[in-house]
Amino acid sequence: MTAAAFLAVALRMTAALLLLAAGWGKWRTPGQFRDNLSATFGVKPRLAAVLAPGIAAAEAVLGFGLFAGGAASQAALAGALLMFAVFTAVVAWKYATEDIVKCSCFGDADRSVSGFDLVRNFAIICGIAFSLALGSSASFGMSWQATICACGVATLFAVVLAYFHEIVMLLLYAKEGVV
Amino acid sequence: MEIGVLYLVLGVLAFGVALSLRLSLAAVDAARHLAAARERQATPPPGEVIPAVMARPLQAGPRKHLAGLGMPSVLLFLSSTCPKCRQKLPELAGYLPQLEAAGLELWLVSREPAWRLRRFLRGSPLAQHALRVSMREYKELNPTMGSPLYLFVDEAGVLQAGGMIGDENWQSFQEQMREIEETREAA
Repeated sequence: MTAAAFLAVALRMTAALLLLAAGWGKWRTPGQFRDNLSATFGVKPRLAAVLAPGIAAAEAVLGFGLFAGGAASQAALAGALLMFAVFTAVVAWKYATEDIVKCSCFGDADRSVSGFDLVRNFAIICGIAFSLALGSSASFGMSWQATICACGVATLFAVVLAYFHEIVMLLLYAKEGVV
Repeated sequence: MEIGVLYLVLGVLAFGVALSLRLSLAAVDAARHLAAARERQATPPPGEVIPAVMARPLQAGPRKHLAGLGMPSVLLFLSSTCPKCRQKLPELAGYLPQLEAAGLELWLVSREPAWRLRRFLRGSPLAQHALRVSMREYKELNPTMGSPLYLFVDEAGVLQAGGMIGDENWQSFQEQMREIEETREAA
């Protein structure tokens, strides 16, 4: 097993954990995400009421699919890539044209989307594309110890990426108290 | 398993540990700062000349020395990410003619990037009254980074009053603006 193949598996699991976290976050605070869909993204309230749980469910399905391995994972990777690319494009467009963009993408606090969130999403898209490019052969012949190891690395990546905005703000501005 | 994989995992773990150490130290800094912030005043000391800050106009023009504007001025601190600030924009823009009649200047002081500030003020005459300063300078004038905040400064640069928009001093300022408008309309 090469380092690139291991990385591809770790990145696939990172995407899985992020999708599950995003789905769970939206599921936990359904009202907030639904309100943001109507307030920020101009979705009609009735449509938002259907779309909000729909997106959360789609994220959960893709997340579990990514863990499955094999052909199911490849399909889930393609789905996740499309989903992240569309969401990021919509949020980036709103970020460029409006002052206050609330997403609560990870069911997070009531803060506006920042440039760091967009950088984070771009990194996730790159990771998924890398994993997709290496193909399903990447996980072939992986021992269970290696799978656990990849899971651990993926958890580290997922935590850093999910809290990327908070981490960067803490590193840059802790002394100035703008956290 | 290749040795390369082990190196990769160890490398990632080492970076993870370093990052978590750095974040812990940053959290200590943030906590220290928050403890100090409790004793900090929301404005520079009243009755004294405000900190010397050079500000760049959002639109073309020479830099301005905020403590030496030479005219009594109202300095406003608004943020594009505060919904309350956006609601205040039309009211504030409405004061511009009265302020001019009364021989006062109004300046909106911001630390935000020019593109964000332009977008925030698009279509508002306040864009011509916007000044940009660095984060350090902004914090000298607005130590707790409050918004919407105002400072009333006299012609010598001495702070007469300051606080959050909507407080007692601000209400008497609103009253004065209304009186000036009524006098102007009567004339």
